[in-house]
Amino acid sequence: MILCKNLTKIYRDGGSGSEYVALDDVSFSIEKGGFVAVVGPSGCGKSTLLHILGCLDRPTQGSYQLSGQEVSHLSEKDLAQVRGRKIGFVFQAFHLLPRSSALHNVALPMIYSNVLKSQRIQKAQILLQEVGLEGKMKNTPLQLSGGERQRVAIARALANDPEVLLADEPTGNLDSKTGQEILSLFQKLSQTGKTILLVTHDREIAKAAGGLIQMKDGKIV
Amino acid sequence: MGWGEIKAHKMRSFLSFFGITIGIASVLMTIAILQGFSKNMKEGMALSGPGRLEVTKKWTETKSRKGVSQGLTSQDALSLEKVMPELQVVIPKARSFRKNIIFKDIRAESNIVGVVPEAQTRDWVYDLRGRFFTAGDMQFFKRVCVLIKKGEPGQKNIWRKFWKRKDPFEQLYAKYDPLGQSIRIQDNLFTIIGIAQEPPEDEDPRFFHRSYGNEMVWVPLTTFQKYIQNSNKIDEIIVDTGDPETTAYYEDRLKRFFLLRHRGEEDFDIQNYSQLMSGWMKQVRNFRMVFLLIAIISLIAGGIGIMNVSLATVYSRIKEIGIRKAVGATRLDILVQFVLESTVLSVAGGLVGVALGIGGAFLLPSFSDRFEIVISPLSVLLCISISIGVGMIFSIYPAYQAAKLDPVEALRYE
Repeated sequence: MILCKNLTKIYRDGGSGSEYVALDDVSFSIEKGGFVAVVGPSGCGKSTLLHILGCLDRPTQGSYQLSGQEVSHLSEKDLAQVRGRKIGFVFQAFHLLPRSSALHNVALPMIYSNVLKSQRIQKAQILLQEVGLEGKMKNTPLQLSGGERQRVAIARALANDPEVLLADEPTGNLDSKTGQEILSLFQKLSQTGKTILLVTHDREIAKAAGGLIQMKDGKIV
Repeated sequence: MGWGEIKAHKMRSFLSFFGITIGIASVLMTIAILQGFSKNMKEGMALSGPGRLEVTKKWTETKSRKGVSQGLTSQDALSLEKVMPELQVVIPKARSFRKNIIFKDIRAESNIVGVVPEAQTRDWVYDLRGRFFTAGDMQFFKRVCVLIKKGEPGQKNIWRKFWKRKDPFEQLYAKYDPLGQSIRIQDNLFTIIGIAQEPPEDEDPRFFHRSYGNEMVWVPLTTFQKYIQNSNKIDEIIVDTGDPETTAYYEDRLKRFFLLRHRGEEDFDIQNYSQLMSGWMKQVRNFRMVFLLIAIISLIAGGIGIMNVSLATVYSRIKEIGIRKAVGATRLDILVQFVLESTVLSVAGGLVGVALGIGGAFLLPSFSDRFEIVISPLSVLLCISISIGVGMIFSIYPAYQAAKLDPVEALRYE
């Protein structure tokens, strides 16, 4: 499903010309339906890895194949389409549109994959039911609790039936009980065949995942 | 989605479109005034006659005056009709100033104009009660006259409330119905055979040749010459060739004709109205260009307002842009979204501007009698398309700034 070979990301400071190696020759693969946690101290390159896997960024070197397609050197426009249709993001800070209702937040990705409006709403309603928010579809994120917001974010990530879910510290802003609930939601999704990569620094949460990638200083250790 | 953003920032949205509103309102008003002016002018021209030429006597003494010419006379007009029978009309007029008039107990002063029956065919805007002069009145020097009743001042004109023109004949009409009665002009009694009512001042279609303020009495030209002026001189001859294309040719011919009759003395002027008209029209066109320039400047100012606010909007929505990109929005999607939002604002501003412009244009005539306003659907359409264009053009740069944001950085932005 995910096949990375010698991924390297180097940030250059335009002014001083100094270089910073965020990812250093990273290779790994994740099978379809795999549930892998990426752990490591902050600054170890796990966010950079997540951004590259999520097509938000491109590697400086190396190859990244997503379900057999080489995506490391796609154009901006193609990258946007890949991340819209094949990838779902869940962020630590939820990243929901604050003035839009839960329903519209979930429907948002489908606007960009050209789904008809009636179908968008229908699909969003089903997804919100699946994450247990059938009563709060009209609420805006400000009217929801942290756990509920993250459920909305997960429903949004699932909107275009992506093959891969990428989660960046999804429980980082939640108390442990709610975090546990969100985590079990991920486990459930994993069982339905979604490939999940979860970035965390919490060893406990990492244990819930099937696989583990440990990183330090831009390398897998 | 864009609408929510507009509603969430009412003041900002209002400020961004206000510049457009002002620009569009002034564009629409100026077009309305110019179109009204052209319309007035064309109506006035139609009323004056298409191929109008006017031969007037020179009022000032010139150095070249040799005293061999007797000036414009009735004979000039008669001879002109014979030499150029193809002319549609030849209307001589003579004028005499500040004559004493007595009707019963009312005394007044008025200019007296000697006219021919054909005068009814040009610049005729009057509502006549009684009758006008006939060939018989001319032939027998009948002492008959037609009184001109001044038009009502414009109802719309607010200045009129403070300043009212004094009309010496107002009392006369208020007290008596003078039709058919006698009136004394200088030492002679005339019979009033007609009363010509001028239209209200704000509806008077004449563009040229509005009568002189104190011109209240017409008499047949022959009668005028015999009893009031005591000479066969005239002040002007109105000629119509029937076609604006031929006026230049006839202007030349008339000049030679009169020079010949006046023994080489140029004691007359010839006015070519279609030329005057095209001169005016050229002025209007020039004015239109100047106005266009001002409009463009004001719309650029409005557009910069839109651009400014759009840029501010982009910076306050960086995170939203990151989220949209993360869930699959392409650069084009973001670009289109921001351009559309600004265009909605700009069109809203434009529509308010159209409303203000129409309102303002209807208010303007209340400052003057002669102010016609024409608001054509085309000019409204033009204004709306301008506002669409301004909104789109000036939001492209901010929208491009939004579209090219790096998604990772945009998401991280706090």
